[in-house]
Order: sequence, then C-alpha cells, then structure tokens
Amino acid sequence: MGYLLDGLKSMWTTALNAIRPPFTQEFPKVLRPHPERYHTSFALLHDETGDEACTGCGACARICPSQVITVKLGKRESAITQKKRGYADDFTLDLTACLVCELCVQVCPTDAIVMLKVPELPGFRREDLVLSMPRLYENEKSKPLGWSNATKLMAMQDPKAGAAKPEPSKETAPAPAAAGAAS
Amino acid sequence: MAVNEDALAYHHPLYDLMLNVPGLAVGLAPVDRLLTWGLKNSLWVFPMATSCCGIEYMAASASRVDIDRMGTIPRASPRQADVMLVAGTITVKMAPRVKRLWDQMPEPKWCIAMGSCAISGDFYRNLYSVVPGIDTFLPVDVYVPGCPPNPEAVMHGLLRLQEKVEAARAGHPVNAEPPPELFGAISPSLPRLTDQNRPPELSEEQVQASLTVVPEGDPGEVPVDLTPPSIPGALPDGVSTELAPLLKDRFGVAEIPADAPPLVPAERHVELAATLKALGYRQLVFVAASHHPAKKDGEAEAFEVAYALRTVGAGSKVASWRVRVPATESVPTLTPTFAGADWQEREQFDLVGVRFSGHPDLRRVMLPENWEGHPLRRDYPADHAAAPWR
Amino acid sequence: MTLFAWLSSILVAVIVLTVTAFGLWWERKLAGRMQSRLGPTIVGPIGLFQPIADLLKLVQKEPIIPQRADRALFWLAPPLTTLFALLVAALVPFGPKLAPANIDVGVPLIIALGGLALIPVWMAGWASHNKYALLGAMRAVAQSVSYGVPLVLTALVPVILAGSMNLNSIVAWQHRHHWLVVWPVFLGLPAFILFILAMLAEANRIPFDIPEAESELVAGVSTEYTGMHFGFIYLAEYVHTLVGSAVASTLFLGGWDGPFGPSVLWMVLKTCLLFSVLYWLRWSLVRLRADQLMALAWKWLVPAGLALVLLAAVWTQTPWGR
Ligand code: SF4
Ligand code: SF4
Ligand code: SF4
Repeated sequence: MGYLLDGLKSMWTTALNAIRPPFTQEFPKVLRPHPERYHTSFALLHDETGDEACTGCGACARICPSQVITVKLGKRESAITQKKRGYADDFTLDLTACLVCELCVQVCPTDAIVMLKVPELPGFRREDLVLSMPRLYENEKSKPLGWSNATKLMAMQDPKAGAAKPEPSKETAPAPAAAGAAS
Repeated sequence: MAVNEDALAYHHPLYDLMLNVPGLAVGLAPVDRLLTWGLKNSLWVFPMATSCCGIEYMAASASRVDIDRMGTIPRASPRQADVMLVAGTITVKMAPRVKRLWDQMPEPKWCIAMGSCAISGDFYRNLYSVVPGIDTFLPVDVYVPGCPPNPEAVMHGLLRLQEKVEAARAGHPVNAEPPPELFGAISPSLPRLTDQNRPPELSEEQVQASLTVVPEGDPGEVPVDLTPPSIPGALPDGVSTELAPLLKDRFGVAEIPADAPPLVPAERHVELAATLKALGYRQLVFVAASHHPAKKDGEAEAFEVAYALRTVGAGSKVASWRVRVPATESVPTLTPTFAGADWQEREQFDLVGVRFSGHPDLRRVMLPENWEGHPLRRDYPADHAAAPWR
Repeated sequence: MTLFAWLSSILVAVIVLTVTAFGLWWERKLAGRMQSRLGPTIVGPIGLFQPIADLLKLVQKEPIIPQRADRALFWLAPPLTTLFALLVAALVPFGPKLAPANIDVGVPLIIALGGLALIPVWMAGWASHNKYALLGAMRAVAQSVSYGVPLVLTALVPVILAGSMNLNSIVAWQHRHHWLVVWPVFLGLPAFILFILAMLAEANRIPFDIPEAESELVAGVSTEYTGMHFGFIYLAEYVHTLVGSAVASTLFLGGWDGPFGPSVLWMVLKTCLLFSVLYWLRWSLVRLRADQLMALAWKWLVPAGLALVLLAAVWTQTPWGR
C-alpha cells in the first residue's frame, strides 16, 4: 500500500516536471552564469606601466602543493622603466596536475598571476594542457579574468579588515566557440 | 617502441569489405560519412568514476547540463559502451581492473581522462599507491583539465571527442607532435602509452604483467567467539578505570604513562584482551602499528602495535595498550578473541610489515598481492619503484 | 499463405520496427522532460535522428563473443528475442479488415508467443557464460512464469464477455457494446490494470525490471552482448512494450473502434498513448525487490485475476451482461 501511494506521488511529480520548463541550459549555445569566485585556468598579467608584473620570485612555485609551477629567475633592465629588476625568464604551469587551490594566486607579491573565468579547452594530448609563458600572457588578453588576485585574497582573510566582498561580476562568459578559437 | 596502432586496431568486417573491394570505397564515401556521423553522435559512456570527479560526471548527466542531449547515455556494462570516462584517482590496485574493463569494451572505443587525477595523478602522483596518470596504461583520447572539471567541461570533452572521431575517420591526424619546448614541462616525466617516443624499456609485456589481477587465496576458516559478554550498567564516559589496577595486579606492569598507552609484554597481551573483553570491553576500536628503525644509540629496530578496546553502550570507556616487539619477532594475534582484529591486523601487516603470529589469514588486504615491501615503514623509499608506474 | 498475408506481415514488421525506433526517441524525450531535462536535442531536429545514429553506431561495433560462451546460442538469442516480440504484432487487428493474421484462437496464441519470448532470454543468459547474465535470465524466467498466470486470467475476462477468442471479434463486440474499461467498469478497469501490470512484468520493464537491475546485475541478460546483438535485445524490449500496449488496447480499450475517422488511426493513437503511459510509469517508479515481485504476483494478482474471471462468468449470466 505504501508503495502504491509513493508510486502515485512520484508519478504526480514526474508529470508536473514534464509540463514545467526544463532546467537544462544548452551548454554549447548557452553558458550557465558562474558564481563570482568561480576560477579555473590561469593568466599572467602586465602591471600598470605595461611591463610584465611577474618578478620571477618563485613564491608561487614553492607554495604549490602539486609542484606544477616552474619559474626561471632572470635579472635584467626593464625596457620601460629602465630599472633593473627580476623577471621570469621562463614560467610554466602544468595544468595536468593542478588542483585549483588558488594558493599560487594568494602568495604572489606583485599580483602577477590570476585565475580565469573560463576553463582551458580539453586537449588531445597532455601537452595541450601545459600553460607556457606565451600562453599565460595570451590568456590575459583573450579570456575573462577571475575575481581574485593576491591583494584581494589577502584582504579578504585579514581578520582586522573584515571580509572583502567580491564585486558583482558584469561580464558573462563568452561562448566556448570563441574559447576554442583562442587555443 | 611506439605502439603499432594499426596492428592492434580492430576493423569491422563491414568496414573491411568497404575498404577492400576496389571501387566500392569511392562509391561508398557517403555511406562512410553516414557511419561516422552515427559513430560520433552516439557515444555511450562507461563511467569509471572512482572519486570526487565522479560527482561532477553525475552532474553532467543530470538536468542542468544533460549530456543525453548529444546522445550520450551511461551503460553499466563495458560491452555496450563506446567511451570510458575515467573520473577520479586510479590507484595501483585499481589500475589492472580499469585495464581489464577497458579491454572488455568493443572497438571502436575511446577514453576520456577527466580531472587532474586521471590525467596525471594530481598531487597524489608521488604517492606510493597512485598511478601517475591513466595514460601510462590506457590510450587516452581527450584530457579534460580541472580538479574537478565542471559538468560543462565534461560535455565539452565529449564534444572534443566528436571532433576527434570525425577527424580520425577522415584521416586527419589529431595527435600531432607536441611542441618540443613542452616535452620536459610535464613532471614526473613518465613513459606514456600514447607517447610517440615511448622508451623500449617500458614494453607492452611489462605493462601487461603489472596489469594482471593476482587472484586472491582462500581465506580459510576463522574461529569466532560468539558468547555474548556481560555489559555492565551505565558507566562514566572516558578512560578505562579497570585497566590500570588490572595491569598492576595481574600483569606486573608498574609504569602507566600519562600521555601514552601502557606497554604490555607481547606474550601476555592476548590474555589482557580476553580479560578486558570479559569485563565488557566488547569492541575492538583500532589496531595501529608503527615502525621504529634502529637508532644510533643502539636501540634495535622494532615494531609497536597499539590496540584500543571500548565498552559498548552509554558512557563507554576506552582501554588501550601498546605492544613492542623487535623487528624480527611477531605479535600474537587478537583474532580468536576479537574477530574484527582479522582485517585490521592484515592491514597493519600490509602497510607496516609487522607480523602477527597465529593469524589465520595474514595476506595483503589494501595493496595488490604482488606488491613489494611495506610502504608505511620508515625505511621505505619515498620514490620506490612500483614498476612500471615510476 | 496468401500473398496478401505475406506482404502485410512484412509491412507490419517494418512499421512496428520503425515505430519502435522512434518510440526509443520518444521515451528518451519523455524521460528527459520528466527529469526536467531536454533529452536528445542535438542529433537532427529535436534529436529525432538519435535512434538512427544509435543504430548506425551499434552496427559498427565489434561483435565480441566471450571465449567460453556457447557460440551458436549466443549468436542466435538476440535476433530471436526481437523476432518473437514481433510475431505477436502480426495478430493484432488494426481495423475491421486489417489483421495480418485473423486467427480464431488469437488470445491464447498471443499469450503463448509472449511465453515463447522467454526462451531466447534464457538462451542469452545461459550462453553468455557470465554469472550476471545467468542470474538475470533466471530472474526473467521466474518472473515471466509467475506473471504469465495473471496475464492469462485477465485476458480471459474479455474472452468470456465477448464469447470469442478471436481478437477481431472481441473488438467487434466492444464496437457493438462498450469499450471494456467503460462498461462493465468493475470488470474491465481492474482487469485492464492487472493486465498492464502483468504485461510490464512479462516485458521486464520497470518497476519489474529486476532481471537487468544495473545496481546488482551490471546489465542482466545483455551483459556480454556488444553492438547489434545488444541492439536486438534492446529493441526487443521496446517492441515487446509496444506490442503489449497494442494488445492491451485491443482487449480493453476497444482496439480500432472509434467514434469517427479511419480505424487504423484510433488503434495507433490508443497504442501510442498507452505506450507513453507505460514510460511514465517506468520513469516514476522504483523497482521492486525479487521477493516483493513474487509476492505481488502470487498473493495479489493471481487471486484478483481468478475473482475477475469468476465475476465475468457470473456477469454473462445476468440479464445486463447477456
Ligand atoms: S592553483 Fe594550487 S595546484 Fe594549481 S598551480 Fe596554483 S598553487 Fe599549484
Ligand atoms: S607569479 Fe608572482 S609569485 Fe610567481 S614568480 Fe611571478 S611574481 Fe613570484
Ligand atoms: S582531479 Fe580533483 S576532483 Fe577529480 S578526483 Fe582528483 S582530487 Fe578529486
């Protein structure tokens, strides 16, 4: 008897579902809005003077629990400010083993590395998922950046300052067709 | 030795006919296109979901993303699936099973590695028990990055697979040579099944050998004591009140440390357990062993095993003690007194290497049967070669 | 056999198979909507070509025969399942003159053929040399044997009332009097529901699909089947359900009888409606346990079926039922 009643109830539910509009957001055509702090892939940024922001300090490489970042430090004169400073001669982030913990973003002293709002395209080879330096700078230009950088994340966790709120995001992510074209 | 994909590839008789009858192939080009269309639009997945990524896969087949829209339905039997979607950490013990399921799938078949764990072992990849990426033993077609990839990314991976299916049937290469500067970027650099320049030392036979499931032995009969114990009434919660006097009077243990369980002579600890059981300590909470390598001051290599018992019911109390034996000797088993000690002691034997004398069935329980060494020993090398994984 | 019979049989088979293929699509759409999803949308307009793609894919898959399987039986079983399921379709009248085989013992024959469909299932399970397949087959046999009894009993109700075992005469009787579910309602409606339940169990559909419970038996009988062989088993299930709904609408819903228009239309309409209702059931209910299943059959359906047969016999002797 209980089965019968429950059965009728569930039939009622499915019948209601069938006449309600479906929840499905047709993925390749429509993108579901992500939460403010949604983050997946990475980008390296330029600072306000237009120079590469990364100083090659390697803090991100040291904190990474997965040990997927390799930074090669180089010192040279800046082409823009003429000051001698550190640069990353080479910077590789191996997305194949990244666990998206955002620690590298958090420790960066110059806010150079940030995360993106759109995922990297699924690849046919493991090498497709390795973000080399050119790819990271390319991401800065071509893909929507995430909410966080080191300053904001640190401020958010500062007990004195109180929790900083993420800004409401304005952009909606582009269609993956565009993302596909980028890579 | 690059894997000769042509020799391994299966050709459907229908397809062979089309290729081999002269002239027919040209005339049947539209048919071929149609067949490819069918192939790529009906990718049934076999979800090889072992951990957290599996949840995202489930979300991908649920209402919001709904991979059924592109004709992808899950099949419970590998025989009816086209795509194996590996979602989650694959351990060394799981790998042969995954490989076996893969081998049971009919051609043409594809494999998607979903999430960092499947792609590379994620940050467990240096762990003794985790396979650093399923492409060490499966030919992966699409890698979906993320930890976990979101449901849309799963669908995107399937869409990419469609691209690949189409390109492969049209004869376009999809696995072009990767840019050389990225060769060294992936660490640890391991020979992959799909690598073009797969070194000869990781031969197919070697992979096969380590991928065979070793059949387990017969566990035999385990003596179980089923007499119900007398459970005393409500007792104050916390540490056992009986243990210290009992140890002093009956077992001659004078020293009861405040911060650690007392040490009990190995030959009498079974008796202690039985006495405690009679007092109502009915449940074996844990058996935990640790390895103490030989020290410079002359202390010999030893194993320590801690046991904890607990009364059942309200106000439960815990009694725990330690047993310390030299590495060459064994600890008497508690299995006849507590049937639950069986597997727990097996686990400690498996991971730490301490032996239990009188144990009815001292086999490995967590690691594969053909594993060498005991990974939780202090002297176990961190980069131990569990060939061919590393 | 006359040429007409041959042609119409082939025609019916082709039509039933085509309708089944799109029944597959319809089921996935319906299931999707019931789960607030969309179901197939990408392949063809509103996903309409999905079954075709599936078919083309299945044809291309590697046929695997397990090493220790019984090869002959293993090959033979799946086409037979579809064949036997299709055989029943030949007996269903689609109009006063439109019955491929108008046989006087139609009702027993249909039930016998339904029972026959069990044999390939058992063959498949036995030949696979796989414990899951064998268990699935054993469950299917046990289930079909148990549910065969209420199936026969409930099918006897229209036979007794109409006084004929010919399906066409039963429909004609309903045409002259009332549809059976409408009057006598206390006989027709319970008999109809019982028939549907028993028929679902015979076709191994949810909520009676323990022969292929994924959580216990991988894929039941079809565990070892790949490619088109699996396709046949898959198809047979749908054909079985489709033909079952056709038989149920013939026996209880007045078959080709309708207030206006061509009779075929009414038959198709009723069948499709019943088919959808069965899928509604399928996607709403959870499966019963093996023992609950047997209890339902022997403790409830069989006594109820017996009572209905008795009632029907009494009813024909009353002045209203004459
Ligand atoms: S997100 Fe975490 S795992 Fe990924 S690169 Fe940054 S620190 Fe490493
Ligand atoms: S990204 Fe930031 S933390 Fe990493 S090397 Fe550059 S400056 Fe240092
Ligand atoms: S990749 Fe991340 S989410 Fe996926 S199984 Fe591994 S740890 Fe879990």
